[in-house]
Amino acid sequence: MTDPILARIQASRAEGPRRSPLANWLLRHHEAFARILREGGANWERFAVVFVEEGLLPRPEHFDAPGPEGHKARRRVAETARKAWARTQVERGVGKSMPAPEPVTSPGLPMAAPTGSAPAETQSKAQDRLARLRRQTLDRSGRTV
Amino acid sequence: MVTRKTALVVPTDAVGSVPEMQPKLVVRLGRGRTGGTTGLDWMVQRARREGRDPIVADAARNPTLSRLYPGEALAPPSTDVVEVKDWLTSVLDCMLTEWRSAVLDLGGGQDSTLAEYVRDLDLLAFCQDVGVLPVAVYFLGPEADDFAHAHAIWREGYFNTPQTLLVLNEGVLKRGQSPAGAFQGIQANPDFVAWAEAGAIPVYMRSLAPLEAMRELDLSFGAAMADRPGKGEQKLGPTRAWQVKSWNAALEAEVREVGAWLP
Repeated sequence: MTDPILARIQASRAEGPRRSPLANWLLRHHEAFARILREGGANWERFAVVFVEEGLLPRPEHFDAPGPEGHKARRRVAETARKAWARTQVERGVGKSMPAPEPVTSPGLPMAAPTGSAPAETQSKAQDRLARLRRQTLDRSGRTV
Repeated sequence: MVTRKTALVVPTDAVGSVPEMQPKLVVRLGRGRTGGTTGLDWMVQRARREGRDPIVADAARNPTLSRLYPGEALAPPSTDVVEVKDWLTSVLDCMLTEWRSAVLDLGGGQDSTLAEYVRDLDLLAFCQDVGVLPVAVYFLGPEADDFAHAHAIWREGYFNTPQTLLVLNEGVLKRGQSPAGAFQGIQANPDFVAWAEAGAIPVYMRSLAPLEAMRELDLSFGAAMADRPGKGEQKLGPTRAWQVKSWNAALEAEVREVGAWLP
């Protein structure tokens, strides 16, 4: 590398990408955190309190305040945490390593007419779904089938 | 007239065989004032509770969804067709760059813009090539025109994905209207039955009594279910929180078969 500016950029890049403490933590504990989300769902407002208390996110003004200002500040931090997680997933390439999805339609497939052409099994499933829908509307109207 | 693309291709064998992290492009089509905002908001909140982060994109004539996500929802700069089409391209770019699902509201008459967009970009072929699962959602109230409008879009055929949901929304019924009576017309309509037989999935969405209170307190579905405080440190209270939980559980049960289609 002959260009001095590029050389300096390269040298600074060698120190690693600049990430926030939370992003570093999420990357380090990606699998475990993903498991928590899968098993228990996300409560970003509560997670955000933990992240702030542990120093992974800065504590903004009004964060501990009661009332709408405090609520707004906590919501903002929760949003920051949620987005940091989303970026971590992108960085980890979640999804991109998935196998190519099954085609949802086959290009060039002859288009069937809407009525009377679906296979019997599909029609039977459809009838089940329509029957369930009828039961729902009757049930919600206080009637029985 | 039945166009080349009119009919749905028979749906994929296993509704649940979609990889969890495959981005979904969920497009809401059809008339406005049929509860689409509530339904799409629920999908976004559901995804976020499970740690996913779909893009919220709102080009509806009355952009109520984007008002729920200020500073975050993507919206076109104007209703001009050319600008909306450019904006649609930017939403797709964002999905692919960030590998995220998107919930796109094109309700309230914006479907005609999509029809024009599809002339430039075959959206279904595009989705297939880039690995995005296209999902169409039509919210239906009891009015005959709600269904007629949705069905007309389907007959046009520009977004006839095998992943199609027909959501009958109890929440838009008038006071005193019984769901069985109100939706009888749609359920008995041969076109509705044919659409379901071609693979569209009917979904029943109950009315949610505390919805207005939730909105006033600026509560998400998750916060409402947990009875967390909202605006002004006010809570819904345990009874309304239970109502939200019950409504959520009913809707979850309704979409169990097609959960993998959601963002």
